[in-house]
Amino acid sequence: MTSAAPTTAAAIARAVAAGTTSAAEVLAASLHRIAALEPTLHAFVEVWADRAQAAAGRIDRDRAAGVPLGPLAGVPIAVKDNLVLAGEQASAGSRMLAGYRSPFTATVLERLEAAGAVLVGRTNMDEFGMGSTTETSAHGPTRNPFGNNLVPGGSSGGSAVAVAADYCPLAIGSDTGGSVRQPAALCGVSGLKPGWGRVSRSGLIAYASSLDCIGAMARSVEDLALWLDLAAGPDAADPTSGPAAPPVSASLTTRGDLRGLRIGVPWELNGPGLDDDVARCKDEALATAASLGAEIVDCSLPAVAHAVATYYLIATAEAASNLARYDGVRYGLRRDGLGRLDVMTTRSRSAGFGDEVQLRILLGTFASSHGWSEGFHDRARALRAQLRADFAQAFARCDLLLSPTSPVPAFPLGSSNDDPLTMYLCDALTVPASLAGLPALSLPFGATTDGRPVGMQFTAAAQREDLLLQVGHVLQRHTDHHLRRALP
Amino acid sequence: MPNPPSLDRALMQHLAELARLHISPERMPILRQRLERILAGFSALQGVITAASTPIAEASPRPLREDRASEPLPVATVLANAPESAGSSFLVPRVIDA
Amino acid sequence: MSRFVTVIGLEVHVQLATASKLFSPAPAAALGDPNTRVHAIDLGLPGVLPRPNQKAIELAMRASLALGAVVQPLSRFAREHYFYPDLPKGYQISQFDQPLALGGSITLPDGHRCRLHRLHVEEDAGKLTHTDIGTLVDLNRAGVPLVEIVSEPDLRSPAQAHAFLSELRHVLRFTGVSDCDMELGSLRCDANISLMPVGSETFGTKVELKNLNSLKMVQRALEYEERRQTAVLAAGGRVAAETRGWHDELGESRSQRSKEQAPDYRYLPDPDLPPLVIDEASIAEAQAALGELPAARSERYRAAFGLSEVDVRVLCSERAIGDWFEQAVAVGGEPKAVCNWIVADVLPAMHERNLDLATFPISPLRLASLLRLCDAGAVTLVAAKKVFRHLLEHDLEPAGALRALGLDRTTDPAVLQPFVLAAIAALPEAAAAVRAGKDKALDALKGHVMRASTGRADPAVVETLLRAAIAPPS
Repeated sequence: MTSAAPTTAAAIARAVAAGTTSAAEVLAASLHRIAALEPTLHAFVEVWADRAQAAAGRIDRDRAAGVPLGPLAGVPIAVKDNLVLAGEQASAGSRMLAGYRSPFTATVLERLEAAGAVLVGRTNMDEFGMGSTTETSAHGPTRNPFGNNLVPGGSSGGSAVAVAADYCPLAIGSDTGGSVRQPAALCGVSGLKPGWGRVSRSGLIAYASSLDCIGAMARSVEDLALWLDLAAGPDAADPTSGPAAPPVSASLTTRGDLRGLRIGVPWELNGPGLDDDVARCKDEALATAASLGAEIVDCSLPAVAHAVATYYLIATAEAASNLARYDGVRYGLRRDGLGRLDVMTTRSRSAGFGDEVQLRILLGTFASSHGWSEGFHDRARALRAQLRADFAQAFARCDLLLSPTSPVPAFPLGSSNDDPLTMYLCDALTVPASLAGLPALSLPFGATTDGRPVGMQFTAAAQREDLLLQVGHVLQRHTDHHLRRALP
Repeated sequence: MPNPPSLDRALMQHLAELARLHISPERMPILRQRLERILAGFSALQGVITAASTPIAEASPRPLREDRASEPLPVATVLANAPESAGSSFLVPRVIDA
Repeated sequence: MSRFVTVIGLEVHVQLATASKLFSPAPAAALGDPNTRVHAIDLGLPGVLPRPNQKAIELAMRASLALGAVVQPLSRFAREHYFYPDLPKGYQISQFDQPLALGGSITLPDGHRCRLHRLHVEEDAGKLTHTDIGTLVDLNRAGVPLVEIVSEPDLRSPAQAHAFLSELRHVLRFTGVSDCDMELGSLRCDANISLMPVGSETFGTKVELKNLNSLKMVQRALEYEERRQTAVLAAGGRVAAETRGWHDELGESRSQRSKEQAPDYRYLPDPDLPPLVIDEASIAEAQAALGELPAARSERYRAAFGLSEVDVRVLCSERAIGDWFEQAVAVGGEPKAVCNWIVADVLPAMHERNLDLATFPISPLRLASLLRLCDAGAVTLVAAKKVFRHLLEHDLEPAGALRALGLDRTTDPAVLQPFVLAAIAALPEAAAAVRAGKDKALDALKGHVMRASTGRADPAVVETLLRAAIAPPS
């Protein structure tokens, strides 16, 4: 890529529409970079080179023929391996789905393709989204561009790396307990988890349905706003999607600074337990916000104390249910059952699912089993309600909440295997917004002394993705954290 | 709050059967440790229950689908990912109740 | 007299009359080759989400209201988990602790009232066929919408269980909720039955019976189980809590599993489906769509038209029959005559031609005008039946058909005289009898003329001509 080449989705679409570059050229540059860096990083499970070239060709022909182009015309986009695309494979990072091809396309991908996006391939992820490092993938680990011995975070680690390594300006992920925000933070890119239901889940291979959200990662908040406007909105294929909301791109530049904005700092998400560098970056972020006119307000979310426990109870119970369909009958891996059906199913599942997935299924089976679940649903629901009430109270006094996205920066590959508690704590700051179904945005905001990126998480009230993105845009216009790259 | 069940081998086996999974002896202690953590988390939730009376916000009801039948999938597509089939049916080992 | 009282409760699954499935747009008619009526949703493919069918919910509400159950303002779908190859997602979407409707009852012809416990909506499973090469899985039926209706244990005999089901079937058919065809599996029944000593108020140990695929089978299976439990108790034994499968061909039930092996379904509120919120307005709408129920209509027909019990039963067996009857009566048809024509002509012709009343070629209005022609003496009954058959094939008014068939009644002596002479020639003994003063014998001669004239002859004119020809004035 020459230095003059556009690097954001919005700029690429503008350049393709203006004819200063072509979709084919943009894609060629993207594929070139992928070919050069993939042997090291392994962000992709599969690159759809032929499919992408065909799509880019169509866009260039459309332009030549004077057909109006979509707002993402010619923009290469990476897609997490848990979103289905008709005729293509999707494995959710699992052996269970090796070779599986979907007959239908996820709504979000349909909408992006209709807007002219060029889908370049599927990215690596923790198996079924269950992990925070992308190490539980059946396809092997993905490496962080900021250090090849570092994890990229997870579960959307491949998508985060695809943006961080400049393969694509935009990548799609999914976020159940932090799976977009946390890898975005660890890889130094911006990541948006919209509120639950804002983007249709149709075509997303489910982990925990009441928490799953499709999100995106990009360098710039402007690109995230562009993406959200195309991806969001009600969908007949997802009865939990919607309602329709006004587009956010149009209002993105309504603020010049942060005057009149109250940023709450919940002490439960900003207290002890933070890595020293992360704490320092958080203080700098608050200082930056204050210097732009924001008022910084102390606040509290008492129910957060129980959030991780609640999250694991709900997520595993729903996962055990969602993953019951993988029985070796209609699709997916099958092992011989010596003529017995139950043996066939047990062997297929034991061979198809990795260790972490099997553990979570067993935990979820326990959490939902008879004699145990009776109090569980009530309690989990009550906790979620309490957490929502806590957030509502906080939003009565402030407009956005701020905390680090992850208590720790990227850590070495393999280090969480010994202590799964570390892995669970990775989610401590992100699961509250997931449980409450709220929109949250992670922005790169500084680095550790040894150069590992640190991300800050902004959380907004329900349906306030617009405010989240407006504030993010102001911050990115006044700082350059989001422009810091690991690789030349 | 139900009494915490004893995390014995029988419970583990029961869970494994319900989930159609095989637990290897090496993984047994890891599973037990995680279950204990879940139980601890559960106990911690006890105090929370009385505080909240508002129902959790859920997806607001959307208009339901109109009752119109559409073209079903071609059989070739239905069976495209099937590990084994016979005629237009999926084929599995003769059913034996576990 | 038995020393025990039989206690029976029923769980009935009824297929709702929708075009598409409960959560997918695939056709709901589970016909055709295996897996030819299947959508990605029915396969439980990765990434699919359920899309609830408006009509299914409406029909379930209609069933609830028809049975006097209370539709709940908020109900919820839940997942019931078990592994079986006929269950594509590893769970069935059903309703658990928050069903669509509660309460209601069914009154049997003997006046006994059986209360209902609840009514909920759920999806059907697929079909398995066991063969030598393995088990074949067909998912055509998977996802078909069902309501499950659970009775209280208020039934006291297998005959009452039979009556309950036949009454339930009648109401659900009448209201258009379901065709309730047991042969096609659109009505299926599980039963639980226990015995307790006469005078006791504590129910005995109950046994569940599965695979009851016809009304007769329900009664037979319950009678068998009643005898079996009586024998066990009479011998001082204890009835085991278990599930038994009925094998009709053997005329016996066999144990399937004991209560201790009862499955753990791990119910979970379905996070993919918003709660079902039903407001007063939609309940009122369903109530309006429900219309008059069969019991009320029967009462009205008895009172307003003075019809016999048999007639009322036929007219109220289906809503369309009563509607058709009332339309004919409204345009002037005499109720009893209309009813007779429906029973003797309309329904047989309809079945013969495999039609329903909506597509029946003769409208109630035309039948009523045909009856008016009869009353006015313009057509004989024999000729009217001919006109009726003609109208089945031709889009005509009855008067037009009469002319087209040349059946308009004739009073012209010149036309009738040859028929009269032919009758006397054919039946000389009858003629002699009349001549001898036996007037009754005139009927045979009249009948001959009517047949020979294909019903066109006016009976009064024929009689005058016959008397004149047999006993000429001396």
